[in-house]
Amino acid sequence: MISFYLNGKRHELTQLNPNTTVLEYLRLHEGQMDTKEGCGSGDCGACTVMVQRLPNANQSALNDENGDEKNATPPFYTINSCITLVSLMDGHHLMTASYLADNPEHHPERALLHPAQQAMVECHGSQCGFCTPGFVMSLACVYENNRMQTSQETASQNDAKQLSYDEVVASISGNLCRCTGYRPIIEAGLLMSDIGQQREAEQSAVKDLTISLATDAMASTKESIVSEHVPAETKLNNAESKAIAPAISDAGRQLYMPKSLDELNQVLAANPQATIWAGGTDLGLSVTQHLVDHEVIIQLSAVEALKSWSLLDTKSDSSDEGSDNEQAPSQSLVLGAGMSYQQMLPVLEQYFPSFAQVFERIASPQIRNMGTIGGNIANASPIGDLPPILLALDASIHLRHCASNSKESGNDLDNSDSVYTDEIIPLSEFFLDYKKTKLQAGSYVVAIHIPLMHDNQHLFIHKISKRYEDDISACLLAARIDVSVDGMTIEDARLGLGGMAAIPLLATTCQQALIGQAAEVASFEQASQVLSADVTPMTDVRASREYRSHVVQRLLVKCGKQLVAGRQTETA
Amino acid sequence: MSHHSSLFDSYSIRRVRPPKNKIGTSAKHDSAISHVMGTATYVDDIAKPQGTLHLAVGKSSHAHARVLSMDLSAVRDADGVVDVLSFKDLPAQTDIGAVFDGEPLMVDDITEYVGQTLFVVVATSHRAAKKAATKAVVEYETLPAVLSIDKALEQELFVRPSHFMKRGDAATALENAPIRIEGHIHMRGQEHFYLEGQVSYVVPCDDGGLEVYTSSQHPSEVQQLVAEVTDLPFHAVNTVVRRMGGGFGGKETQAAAWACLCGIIAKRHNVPVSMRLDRQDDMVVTGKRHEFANRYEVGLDESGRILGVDMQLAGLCGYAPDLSDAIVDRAMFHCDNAYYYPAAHVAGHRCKTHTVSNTAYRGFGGPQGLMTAEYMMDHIAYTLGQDPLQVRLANLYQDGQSTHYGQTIEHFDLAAIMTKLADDCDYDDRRQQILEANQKAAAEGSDKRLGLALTPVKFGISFTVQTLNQAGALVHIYTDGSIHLNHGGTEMGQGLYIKIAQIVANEFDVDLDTVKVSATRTDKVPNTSPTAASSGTDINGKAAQNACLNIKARILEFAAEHFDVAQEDIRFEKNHVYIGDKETLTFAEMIQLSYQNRISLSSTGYYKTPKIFYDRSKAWGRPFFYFALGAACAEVEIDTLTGEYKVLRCDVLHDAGQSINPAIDIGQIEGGFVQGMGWLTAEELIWNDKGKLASDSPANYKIPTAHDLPKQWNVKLYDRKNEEQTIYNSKAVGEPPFMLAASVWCALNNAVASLGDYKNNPELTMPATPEAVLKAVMRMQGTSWDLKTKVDTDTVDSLVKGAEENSDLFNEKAMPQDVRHAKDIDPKEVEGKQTDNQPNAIEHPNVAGARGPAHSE
Repeated sequence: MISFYLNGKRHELTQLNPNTTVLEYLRLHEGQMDTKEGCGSGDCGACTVMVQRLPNANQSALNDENGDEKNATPPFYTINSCITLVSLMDGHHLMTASYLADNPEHHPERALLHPAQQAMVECHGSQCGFCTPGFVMSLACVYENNRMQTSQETASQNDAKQLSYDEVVASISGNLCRCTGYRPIIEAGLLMSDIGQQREAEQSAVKDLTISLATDAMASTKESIVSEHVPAETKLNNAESKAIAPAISDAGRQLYMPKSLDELNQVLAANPQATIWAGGTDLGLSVTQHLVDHEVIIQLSAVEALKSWSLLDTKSDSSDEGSDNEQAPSQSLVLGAGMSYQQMLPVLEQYFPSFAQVFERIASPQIRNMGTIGGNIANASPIGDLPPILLALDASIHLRHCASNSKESGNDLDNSDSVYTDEIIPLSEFFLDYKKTKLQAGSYVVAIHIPLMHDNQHLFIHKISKRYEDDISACLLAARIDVSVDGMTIEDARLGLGGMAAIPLLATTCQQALIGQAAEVASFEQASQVLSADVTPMTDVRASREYRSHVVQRLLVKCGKQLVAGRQTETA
Repeated sequence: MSHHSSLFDSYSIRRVRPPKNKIGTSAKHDSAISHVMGTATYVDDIAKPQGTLHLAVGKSSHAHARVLSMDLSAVRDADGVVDVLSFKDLPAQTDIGAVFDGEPLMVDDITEYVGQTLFVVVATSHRAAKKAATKAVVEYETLPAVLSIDKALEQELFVRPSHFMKRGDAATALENAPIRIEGHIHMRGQEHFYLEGQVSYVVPCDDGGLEVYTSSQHPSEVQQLVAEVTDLPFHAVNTVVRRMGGGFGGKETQAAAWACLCGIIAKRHNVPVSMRLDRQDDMVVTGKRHEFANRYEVGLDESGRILGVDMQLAGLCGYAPDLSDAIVDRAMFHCDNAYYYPAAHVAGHRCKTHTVSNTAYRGFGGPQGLMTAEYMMDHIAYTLGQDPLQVRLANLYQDGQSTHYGQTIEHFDLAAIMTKLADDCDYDDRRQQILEANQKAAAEGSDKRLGLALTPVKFGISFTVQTLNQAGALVHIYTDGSIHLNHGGTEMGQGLYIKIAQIVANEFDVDLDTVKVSATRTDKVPNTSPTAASSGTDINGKAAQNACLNIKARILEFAAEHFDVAQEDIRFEKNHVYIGDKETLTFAEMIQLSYQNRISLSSTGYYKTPKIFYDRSKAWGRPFFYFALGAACAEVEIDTLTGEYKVLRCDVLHDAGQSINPAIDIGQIEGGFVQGMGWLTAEELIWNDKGKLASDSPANYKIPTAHDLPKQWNVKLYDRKNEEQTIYNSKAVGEPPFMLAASVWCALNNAVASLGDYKNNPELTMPATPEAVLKAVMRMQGTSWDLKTKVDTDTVDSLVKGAEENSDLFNEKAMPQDVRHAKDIDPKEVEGKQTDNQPNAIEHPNVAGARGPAHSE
């Protein structure tokens, strides 16, 4: 069974085609027409809905390990309902545009609108109106999170932080509008906190933040948006989980939702041909664009272990590239394969700031909320943005191969160790050919190991695409340049390339041309000349072979310029 | 801040509604609140009864081929399939060409583009229909496909005869000119990317008729075509369009096919039938903005003033005429933009290719003509080493001059607009600063360069097909004083409904919420023109005004007699009617009184645009009632290392006449500007060498996002009444601002030109993607674009092949090595072989086709 709240009402489902998307569920099953389909592929944001994890449902290991307040209200986030399986809503509250407004008389002129909606009306932020509900959800989400954050940070909630222009733009970067030219929508985003504050000032009682979204000035009896009265049975009984029955099924199609690695190992061993579903931001297209109905799906979202991260001490034998950094910390960041971009972001900001910076150009907020690091690697797309960066960072991948040929009958939890084998291999060995990897039937990605960088290592990432936001790379160059202690010599170089060939790859010839050279721009200029030995780019709809060849060379030179500029400005 | 509408006050309060002066100049969009709640109903949101059938089409996979056989048995056997129809099953008319025949509803024998409808599947759900449609086994005999403008010109393959406009002796002017410049420019098409895809829902009526809900800019055409394909009289088909989720021209003719298919199936099975195109299907099977390959030869005096111009415009029309005749005409009308060509020869070719039939798109060919002029201005400036703005100003039309098609230039404020804009945005100072900054950057070896450009827009307002310049409206006043309004225009987000409601409210001087705008219906207002050519408010607003005036005249006549006062002393003011000094009634009371005295409170209104005439056989006349004007100034920064760029600032001054609703008009300007910017910078429509659209989804066709706007963006309206007697002396504003985006492209061109000290034309192409900018930069720097290293073709092929094999799954399509660009063509050769013989056009010089009054431009 899966259970979730839709606009304040509890839904429990057991019989449902597992390939059903949230959008289909809303429009076809529930007749809820306030969410629109613009593209069906997660590119336009018209179908954006807002989601909040129900408190106490599934405890996030991420929060546990980092000592975050477990009692904190979970943040709101947006997703593309068109490519998200409805089963991913298990344990969540799903909200659509009409729910934000209070409209008991069913007349628009009498509705009391959410500040994001009110601001859109006042700023003339809608023209044809078709993309509008999606924009409203994106704006409402940033509004609510901002409000929640402000109230947690400051004792008095009078001074809600004003969103900046850039924050508003970032919040709607996954929403396309063809009518307005965005200016009034950005203006609405800038205005909404004023409206909210005015609303709050008009209220006598100070309300709980998350509840007030539903009750704020709405004078209704509507259930609160965070349904605090969620019964504990949201979580499946432990007794049930032993059987590992499908969470939902219909006409022979099944979806499993293992709750632990052990369960996952078993289910996968029993169903090696199953489609493994992480965030599904790419796989979702197989359902909506290619009309595939997957027979057996194993959804990873409930395996908390896959969403955790840790630091791991590693032996320094991995520094095989002959570097002699005596003080090498030899620690790796281990990212669970099921971590979404959004979950990784604070971790990367801490350990790989220049990696984190590029996130604003990878996909959209909606996609970053669902898409996982494991998924981005496992689908082996030549245009995934993470693999080239991870290649440059010398990351390894932890794979698990599950088999059903063990002596156990498969549902014996205690002996689950015996049904799988693990291997940790360099990521560079993982990609075999176009869309081909070391993953076999019954395999999955457990985690990614990224060696932490030393002070003398520098990471530069450059992405080229036609559009700045939410576009696929025509070329992505990630360069990790290791310099000597005095900063004058290049001791090692790792150059990851994406969007250039059938697989993400390392420019090994070019790397060799850099190693041992002076850390000067000229070295990079020279090395860029041999890039063509490493990759022969393709011409496609995103860029020509010529552009890719020229621009990747020039980006390498840019890395050199940045390296030199960085040395000149900083002391470390 | 309250959203409570006085219209929903209690009946007693409404009867004595106090004056609130709510007519409002910047009224909100009539659906703004339901938009933000998601409750505004689009066609696919209509609750459909159980048993509703859904359609999907089987699509041709070849650009040009004979269909040898179609095995549809697997389609019929698929889950949920109820019926499958192909060409032979069509019951009546099979061609749905908007103006000229040539667009079969389904392929009979020969398929002429990838995506053409081969058959239609009827199933119990949308998904079932789509799944089944993929199961057909079709055998083709491939035929040679023409996929580019140059190939079509070479083979003289046209969908319509070429057309020429001529003034003076251009050849002699060019020969005698001290300076001659030749150039060419290639513009790609543009996907409309309305957020709501094509959709129709047809319900059979108990009298055998059909109720058609569609997302169409042209309800009357849909009505007529559905009637024709189902063999019904027009009166039996009623088309209802409440709103569209965006149109931009893409739903002028291209909405009809799906309504026709639904209509046929609804008649055949006597159940409601629904059909919508998913995004990728929509992008593949519907027409787009025309790609153009244009060339020009211009003669100049030493100061840079134009003496004569010879231009050739060639539009890629696709396989069928659709609206291409009028679109290429409009490109020709606008190839002067705002500049005086003392002698001009303009040729316009309508190239036939084996691609989807291109169609109307905001500007309707105008932008492609205009960009040719602007490109030429840049070319002149950089050849002569002058400031492009000075070249533009020097060549601007002046009142009294006439265009190359004979229209006299009047009330031409463009010089004033450009000068004011230049002053307001400190053009001169900023230009100087940019020149210095670029010199400094060059000296320091920086990769950044700045560019600045100020460009004008002059856009002719009226359908160039004269018949279409008419409109109707229907106004009812009910006895509580509330007003119901219908008119022939459709709402696609542009705010037409609210503007016309404002006009009606203004005529009676009542609160805006007294007026209810309702869906556009062909049973309320018949024989409507498409909502296109920016004409929506101009013609429908006047028609609605006329309806109001009719009713008002009856009330005045009655009241004058009833109260025994002179008609001139009766005033409609602030929700009241003042009977001289004698008496004051609320509007509702006056309406009640009129009703009790048997005064008709309902009227139609009609309007036709005055003054216009145009003889196409002579290519001479006054096709436009007036010109909309505007100017924009853009500043950009490019990265010469990678070709990436940012738009830093834009200033816009646009002439909307006396604006009926400044907020709505500014919304049109900003939206049009960004759409134009998308066309000229990021949106790259690419077909592969098999005629298959490669940029077929939002994953690989990128319209602008919020990040792409200039952070500094000032949009102002130029405060001046239209001299012509338009509705409240306003000016049309739908299409003209699209072309303000020329400033962004020209600013990029300007930044690249800095690398050659502004003495060479950078030959920047369109759209100016980072790739295009880098290519132009490298050309200016004298660096070779072609790769020096020998390509290991085996490697390339294997990579591409590898990608292609799997590409069907995730859109990572491989492209041929050459993205085709139109080559220069020799205009003389083409000209010698083409004649202007167009019997239709000569017999009916102002009607492009003989179909019916409501068929589009």
